Amino acid sequence: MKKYLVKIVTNTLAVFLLLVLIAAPIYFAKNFAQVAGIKSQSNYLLVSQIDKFPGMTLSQSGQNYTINFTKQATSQAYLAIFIINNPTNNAKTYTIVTNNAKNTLFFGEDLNNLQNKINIPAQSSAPISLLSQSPQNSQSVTFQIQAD
Amino acid sequence: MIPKSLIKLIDEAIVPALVLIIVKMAAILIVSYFLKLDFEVNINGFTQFLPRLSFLSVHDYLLAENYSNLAMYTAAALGTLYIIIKAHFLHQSHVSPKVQQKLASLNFENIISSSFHLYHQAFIWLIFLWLTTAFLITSTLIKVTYTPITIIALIITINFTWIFATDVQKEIEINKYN
Repeated sequence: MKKYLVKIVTNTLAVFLLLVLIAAPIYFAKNFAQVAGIKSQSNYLLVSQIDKFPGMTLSQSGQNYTINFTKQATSQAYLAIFIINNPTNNAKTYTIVTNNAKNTLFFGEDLNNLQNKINIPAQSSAPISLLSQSPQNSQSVTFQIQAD
Repeated sequence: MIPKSLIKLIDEAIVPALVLIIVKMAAILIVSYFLKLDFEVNINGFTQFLPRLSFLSVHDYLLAENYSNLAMYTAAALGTLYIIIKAHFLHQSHVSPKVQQKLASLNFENIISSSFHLYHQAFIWLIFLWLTTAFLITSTLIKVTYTPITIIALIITINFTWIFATDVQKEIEINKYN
């Protein structure tokens, strides 16, 4: 029994070795050269409108965007501070992730519908607005945009 | 334990596999050198340890790929041709007495091969030839390799297979009458 088992294993390994030897040159030929610079397409384009709002600045570190601004009232909204564009050929769902409860970033311009998630069709855009309800005038909010 | 034929096939597959890999690699480097094609070498390019060349433009990549594919196919075709010539003229079962006498006088009799040796070699080289042709066809379908190269390769491959088949047929007839 053991003899047959060893025979089966060795023959299987031998056939496998032969197949590897036969496939190796084609695999090598297929993968040895490529064109450089083929990178994945960006999931979104974020167009800043912040220069239209006095006292507001934007900085970026990797995937994190930080907005600094000074308010005139306790509750204040800034509409369409960004335009997010879906440059891909498929509809995508985007989510705004922020850890600041007093400063809400939301898609659209409707203060009665603060949606942090939106589905944008291919090659289309949507505005991003900010509602700040913090009592301090000087504010800073950091956020990320995630694409599904 | 392992059939003699299987060991012989593995043994015969090593050299062609290495030849095709080396020719492909050397052809890309030589073409890049003489045509001054720009590329970068990525260590760990594929399968984690093999390098990969990244050409900086599609034009350069297509030139290098076409010339190297042509070189690889030529290597496979020359290997097969060598075996076919041996099978037709230096085959132990039907070598002509005149050739045998001449080789004996030159002390080259050992280049006459047995059917076992020749057919295993031919089987391996024909597999490589057909695989390379299939690779060229696929490459042409994705618009990398120029169509004339693939058409010529296919014609040569079919003819080499047919020429080898005539030798097998001759061998069968010899065995039938013996």
